[in-house]
Amino acid sequence: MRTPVVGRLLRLALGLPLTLLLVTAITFVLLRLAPGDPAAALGAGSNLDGDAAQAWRRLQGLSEPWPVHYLNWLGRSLRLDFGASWVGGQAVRDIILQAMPKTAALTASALLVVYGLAVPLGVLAAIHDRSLALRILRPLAFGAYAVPSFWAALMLLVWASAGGSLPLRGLHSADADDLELFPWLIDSLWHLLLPVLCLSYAPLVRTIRFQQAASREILDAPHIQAARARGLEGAVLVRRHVVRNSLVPLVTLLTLDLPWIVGGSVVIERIFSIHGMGMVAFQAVLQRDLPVLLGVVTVVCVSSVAALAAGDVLLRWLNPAQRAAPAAGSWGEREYRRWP
Amino acid sequence: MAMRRAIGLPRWVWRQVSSPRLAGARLPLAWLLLLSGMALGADFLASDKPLYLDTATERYWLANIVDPPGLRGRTVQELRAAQQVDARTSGILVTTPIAWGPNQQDTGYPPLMPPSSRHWLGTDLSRRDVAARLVHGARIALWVSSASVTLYLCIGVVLGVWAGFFGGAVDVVVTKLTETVIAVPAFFLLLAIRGFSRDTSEWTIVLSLGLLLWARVARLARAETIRLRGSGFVDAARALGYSNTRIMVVHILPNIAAPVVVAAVFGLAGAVRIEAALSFLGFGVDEWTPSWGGLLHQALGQTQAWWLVLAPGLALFSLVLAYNALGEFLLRVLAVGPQVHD
Repeated sequence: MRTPVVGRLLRLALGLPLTLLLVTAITFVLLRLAPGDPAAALGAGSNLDGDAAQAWRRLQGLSEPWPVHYLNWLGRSLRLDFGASWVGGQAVRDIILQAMPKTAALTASALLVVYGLAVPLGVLAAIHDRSLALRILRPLAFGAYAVPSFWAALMLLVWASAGGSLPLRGLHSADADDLELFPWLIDSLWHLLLPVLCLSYAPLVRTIRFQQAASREILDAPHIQAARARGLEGAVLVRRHVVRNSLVPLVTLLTLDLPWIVGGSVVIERIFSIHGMGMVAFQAVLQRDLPVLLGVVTVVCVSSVAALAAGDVLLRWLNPAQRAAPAAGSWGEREYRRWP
Repeated sequence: MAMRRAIGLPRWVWRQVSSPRLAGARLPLAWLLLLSGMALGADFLASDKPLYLDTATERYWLANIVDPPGLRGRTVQELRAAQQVDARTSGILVTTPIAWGPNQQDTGYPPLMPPSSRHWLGTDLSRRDVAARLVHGARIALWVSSASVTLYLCIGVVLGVWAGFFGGAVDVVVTKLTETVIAVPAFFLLLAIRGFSRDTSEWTIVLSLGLLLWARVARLARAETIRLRGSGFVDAARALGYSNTRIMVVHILPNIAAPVVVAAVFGLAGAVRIEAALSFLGFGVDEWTPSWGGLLHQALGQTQAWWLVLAPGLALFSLVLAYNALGEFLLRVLAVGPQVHD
């Protein structure tokens, strides 16, 4: 039956632009209406004053009422023209295009590490539930989860500055451009090591616990008991039943983590001097660079919304049982009884 | 009740507190109590005014909180030095355990010094005592996180219950709004707000946090309300003629309290972390107000100053750990589903 699926896709198609519009509008209003005159902030370092400042304001659209400004900005953004930075004049689109791969490298690696390690470790944890090693590890992991990632990163910095050879700044060494492909890759991975470590240990703990709970639930299920009674055991059992059945909840978790890829972590990028989206946003805020900040926040918001929507679609496709359930807030909930 | 009368109140309280029911909650609660005490009594732990000063001519009690005009502008160190010099002014001087104020600059002592007998946790960039700032920093950590969580709980629960109870157009609007706010990475928007308003009062931080983080609670409250709506007692209340408001407040709210409380406790842990991250980036409270994140902020440029990193970090870690442990305990005891864990 195609109609329910088409109906859902239609609802999604209508709902997504609305969400995006809301998101960009809220961001725009917040930034535009924030107290403080951008021209004044700009004038401190540059030579703008009086008429020049007025002309600049008019050029940037700041002298218009904000709805007009928003619509103009929206029109330009739809063509991916986010204007130029107030500091340096570089096109915002270029800044974002340069910064995004760096953040993506960081967060994609972290996600890979997290989900790559969490599945086997979680299953193992579920199988060896009562072992001594795990009884010691669990409180330790719990403690590790509570460590703020930027504190861990700072401690690593302190330790490294006291004497250590781990790279602390940026994603490449200074002379990385001279390297061939393979050494360049190794160099990049070497630089990624510490930031990814800091980014991933907390989600790793969370995901391992999640996977362990899911695997435990599957292992205790009657049909698994029956299979074991029939003689199925060990790696085959794990591979064929446990992992497959726990995949769907895990994918749910993964789809919730996807928006992270574009935004990344501002503090980690700041600490390790990685010029990704977070760092760009941070510097834009510091320098009160409205076009850049607006562009970055919009791109991050839009990507998040899109990623979540894509994840939602993926989940419904993966899990037939969920296809019948109406989406939250959709018109399908009229099925519930309503109070007069 | 009879038991309490029989064995006496202190023993009864002790029995309740030490009962195995509370296993896993005692330690985090005790630690939270300790930190709260430290925050409330910060002026008694670290101040540049004496607790008690008795010279031949004057006597001052609790100058650290009373701030008498006679001692204004004079620090404990000055008074102590004056006592040693002039026999006339010598007397009894009782200081706080940490004899430095959080904003007191030790002129004549270099900034960024490691821990010593003079400054137990060293000094920061502005020659201020780190230990004093650590103790006073607990105030910001606890206050900002509690206030913002309270704010976003109020917003989230009200909106969620309202949407779940009435359904229809209200529900669609609220759900759309909730989805939007959840989808947006809160920290980016928070950074934008904080950075552009540059208003360093704690209230704006609380407000910003509260206005951005309510969505998850709203979603939870709405789901629970819908679940409750399907059960019988709401219909019964309806049949008895109770007004909608009464049903929502008297019947629905207490029954959704369990998952909301768990979400609140984990939310407190998150709020502490966010406030610290914000201060660490320089967009939290102003430089003068002592804050754990602010101490870490100073450490960023001076990576050899391990005392600026270790102490506030440990404090943050312990607070987050305590909230997490409390949340885990509540999860276990209240038997709520996994959807509340962040």
